Amino acid sequence: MYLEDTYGDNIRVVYRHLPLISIHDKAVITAEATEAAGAQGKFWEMHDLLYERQQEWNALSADDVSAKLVEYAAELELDADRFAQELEDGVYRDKILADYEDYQQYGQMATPTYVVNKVFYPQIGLHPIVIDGFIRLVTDPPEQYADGPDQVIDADKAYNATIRTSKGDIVVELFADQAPANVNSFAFLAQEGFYDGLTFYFVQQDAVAVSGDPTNTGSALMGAVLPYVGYTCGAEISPDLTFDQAGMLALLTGGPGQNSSHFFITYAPQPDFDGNYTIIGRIAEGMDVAESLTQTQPGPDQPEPDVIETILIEEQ
Amino acid sequence: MRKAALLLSILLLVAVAGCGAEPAAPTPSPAPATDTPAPPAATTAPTVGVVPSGPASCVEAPLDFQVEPRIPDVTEEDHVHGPADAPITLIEYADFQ
Repeated sequence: MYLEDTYGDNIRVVYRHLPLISIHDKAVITAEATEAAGAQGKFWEMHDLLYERQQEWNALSADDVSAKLVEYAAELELDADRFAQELEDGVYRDKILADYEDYQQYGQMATPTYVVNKVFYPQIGLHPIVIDGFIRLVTDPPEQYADGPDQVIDADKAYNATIRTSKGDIVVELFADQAPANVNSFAFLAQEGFYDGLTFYFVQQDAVAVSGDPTNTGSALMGAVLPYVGYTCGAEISPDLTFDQAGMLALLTGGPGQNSSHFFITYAPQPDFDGNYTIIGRIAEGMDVAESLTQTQPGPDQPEPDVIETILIEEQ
Repeated sequence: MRKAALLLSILLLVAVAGCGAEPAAPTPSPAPATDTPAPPAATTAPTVGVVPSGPASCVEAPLDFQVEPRIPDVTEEDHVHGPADAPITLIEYADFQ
């Protein structure tokens, strides 16, 4: 499993039943099946099998599911007769429903809900990379600038940003006049050293290179664009700036008004992005460096991403 | 599977952005668990083509994770993978459906 591979002995994973009985008619019986398997020492095997075969058993009627679960038990070389009997007798049902009652008091009834060291992370998706991002935010929270960025640029002046990477320098002309708030935020974070050591964790030729995620997990790409820096900035869309060419520097956003530290560089024209992402600059020098960034994506067995050593902001 | 999911997500990023009638919502996700203030009106995403936004401002949006001390401690009753003294305990509350 991804998280075990990533964290090794630093993590323990606990599964607790939260059967959403009002909307999931097979949630209790499947939870019972894992308990019945657990009674024979194979809780996790049944747990994994149920996720793997979800489409198969979920297509059955509630009445037919039990027979299928018994088949699974036999497949896992459990004592199928005992397993079937325990399901029929509802041996584990009361315990599962009691747990369900307990958890209702927290008011967090979406599934799945993750808790890391007693910190809640309500339903965000099953993807392990997103969970990994959450673990990192809880265990090593990034700097929070609750007051927003200090004003570090003058919108009437011209600025360059030099993104110093492990592959070389990428010099970006910043559009302080067209996106003053977002250029200022980028410059502020750069000067704070926020980007130092972060990686280009998602690089896809002909598309984009993405960075600015303090967890380096890319959970942002999975829809979990949280305000990692303690503030968010509104969009600044200028009709004069479009993704009509490669080399644009823009902010990845969690939605309208949710720009924060996440940014990307484009490798090709991306007209579909027009109007949706705030452009803050354009590569002036070092496009070859940008293009040499290692193609990678989050996850195990991926090439080591390139690192941002620092980002320097210079008035021109 | 994992690779497919990620590629899908980047495609979603493109697809969502490309859907001119929709605001630039992220890939499907609930609102973050924070008291994120409502974005300024000027930042509403364009609906057709490139509609310029007005000047933007930055507002406080803390990473406001909720600690829930009532979460029961891990006991022998629990189904656990990994060492008991691990510094990170991830509890998944879920069903299979």
